[in-house]
Amino acid sequence: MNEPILQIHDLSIDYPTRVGLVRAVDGVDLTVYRGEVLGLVGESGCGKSTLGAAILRLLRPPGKIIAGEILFNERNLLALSEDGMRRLRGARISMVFQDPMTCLNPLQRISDHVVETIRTHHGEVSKQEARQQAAALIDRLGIRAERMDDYPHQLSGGMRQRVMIGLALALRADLIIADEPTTSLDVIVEAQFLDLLRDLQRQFNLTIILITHNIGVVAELADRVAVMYAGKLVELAEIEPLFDEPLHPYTQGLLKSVPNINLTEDHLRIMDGSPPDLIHPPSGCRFHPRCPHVMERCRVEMPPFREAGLARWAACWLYE
Amino acid sequence: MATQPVDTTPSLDNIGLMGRFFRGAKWYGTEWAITVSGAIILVLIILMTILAPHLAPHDPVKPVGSPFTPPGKGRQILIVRADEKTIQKPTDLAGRLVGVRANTSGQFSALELGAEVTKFYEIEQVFQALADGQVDALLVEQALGPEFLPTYGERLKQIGEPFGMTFALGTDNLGRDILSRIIFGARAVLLVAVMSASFSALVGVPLGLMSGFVGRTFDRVLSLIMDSVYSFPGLILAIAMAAVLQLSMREALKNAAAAIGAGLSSDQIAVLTGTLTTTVAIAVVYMPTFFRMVRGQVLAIKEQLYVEAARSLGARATTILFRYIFPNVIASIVVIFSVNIADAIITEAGLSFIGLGLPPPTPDWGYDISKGQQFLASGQWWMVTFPGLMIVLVAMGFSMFGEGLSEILNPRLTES
Repeated sequence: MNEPILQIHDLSIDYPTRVGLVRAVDGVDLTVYRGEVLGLVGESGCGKSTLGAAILRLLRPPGKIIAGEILFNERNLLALSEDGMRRLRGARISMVFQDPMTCLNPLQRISDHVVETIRTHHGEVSKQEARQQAAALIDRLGIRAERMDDYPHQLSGGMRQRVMIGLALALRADLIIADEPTTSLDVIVEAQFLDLLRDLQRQFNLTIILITHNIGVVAELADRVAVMYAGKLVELAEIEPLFDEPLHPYTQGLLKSVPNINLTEDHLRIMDGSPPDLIHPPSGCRFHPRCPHVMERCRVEMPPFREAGLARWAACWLYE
Repeated sequence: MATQPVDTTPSLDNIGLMGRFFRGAKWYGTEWAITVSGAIILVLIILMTILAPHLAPHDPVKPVGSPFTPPGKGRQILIVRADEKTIQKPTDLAGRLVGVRANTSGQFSALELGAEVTKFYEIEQVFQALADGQVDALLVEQALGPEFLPTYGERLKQIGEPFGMTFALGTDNLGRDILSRIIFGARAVLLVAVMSASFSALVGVPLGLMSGFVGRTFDRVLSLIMDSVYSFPGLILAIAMAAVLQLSMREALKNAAAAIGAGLSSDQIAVLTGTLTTTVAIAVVYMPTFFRMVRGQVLAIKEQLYVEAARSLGARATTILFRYIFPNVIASIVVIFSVNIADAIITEAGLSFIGLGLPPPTPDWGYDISKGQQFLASGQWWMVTFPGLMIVLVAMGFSMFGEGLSEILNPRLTES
């Protein structure tokens, strides 16, 4: 847990649009350690998925990384050639997407997906061998062997999502970026999937970046949580301290707005205001228009992301 | 891994592609029936082109009967004047003779079929010419005898029994057998239509794939070119292309033939020129349909999550293009292909009609339709109908086969 596998330094990502420049990720610093599950949470449009895609250098155009570096096992991914990057994808860093319904090629069998992924990175593996490996993997995912030659449309959503995670694991990737992996699953399938993910994570000592807006999923799986707001990291802490005593006013609001069976309707809070327009972000702290603790300084100066306690960081003038 | 018993009962997934095709009725129902009917039509047409010389009852380019013989008729009778002595049987005519024409000395003689000038068009005039001594004999459709002979009473007589053969689909304005022309015409049609559709697919599909996949300036420029081609009315563009190509094509062919030492007659050169010119002209017209369709599909499929997922698993650009994008486009290509073949047949007919296609005596459905349409008003419906039906049949065969195949090839659409 103390060996960094991924270090992001001062990463900024721009989306030039017709109406102006959108800075989707703004000066993010983040370190991910081997074997941990890092939850990356925030509202829609806060830049968390963009950050995930940037790690694999799969930003959708016109998105562009304009500053910073991403070190994976101390190699700067941004300096790698396109082919070098391609070799890394799937083999060392993989991604699991939100919608398993559309993540698989409708014209390829499940086994073909796995075989192809294996053979893309290990051309020397024969088709038969790759197929055997695929069978073993599919078995481990809890999918019956006779289903491995099915087409994606013949599988349920949960099964497809398991296949996706299987593809991500086919080559024992060190780092898995799971972008909203359970959003389109129903709660029971979601629970099963999270169980599977946790088992696999322990079994292979996987490092997972879990991108989600679902605090429940984070609570279930994550070791540490990073909270993003309007392209900036606002808080980073281990899971328990964060849930017990959130520091940043945004995190506090976020946790209060999570429905809970023990809460009465009166206690469920809705955060005032709406996420800022990223083309014209607010001056100073981006959260200040919605912040209940807003001070004069917040309107002018951007708070730095700094250590605000034991193993936890926050970007707020309250903790100066 | 625990080995589980493999299910060996035949199902869609374990009988393979050919199995799907031959035993698919069970799973595909109507689609299968449609595909197989289409395939049968196409196989029959292809057999027809190969076996044309054996199937065709007559020479397709030579007159073999009376002009305008209706379907199922064609047996002829020989009619002479009552005082005729020398002509006793049909063979005495030494060659096929019907009708009447004026010769250079102003006298009238029996007309050899295929001659360019006909004096009399109306059958009454022909009988009158015989009665007046302007010709010596008449060979006419057998049904005409009982119709006209009574008018002339004792002056004209029929010699012998009706002879010759019947024409199942009738004859055209020059007395050529329509059935034979259709059988031989399938060659030209299939050759030109299939070749031009394949050619435009061969160029349009890869360009569309690349254009959609690569994007940027390459895509802009290519799309602009293709769209400008597409904006022309098809037939007019084909005419322009054919007109431009024809001369250079003929020269090129002559030179090529000379170079390889193949002695080609000018007729053969003309047929080859016509075939190649039409093929290329039509291919150019239909190229944009492939390009636009493929490009559009690629643009859509490129954004699909499964392509992004493949990318995130390290798939190469070529893998993505050929295993993720291309297979998902094939179904549409097959459909466009079959539709284009039908269109190409019609366009080819248009080109032949204005003399830019195959040279006239060559059997060609399109040309025959254009020609026959002139006589439709006067009641000779069979010249247009049968080649027209054949075009419908072939176009339908391709469409049925194409559509059905695209359903069968697509695993998503199986009725499970």
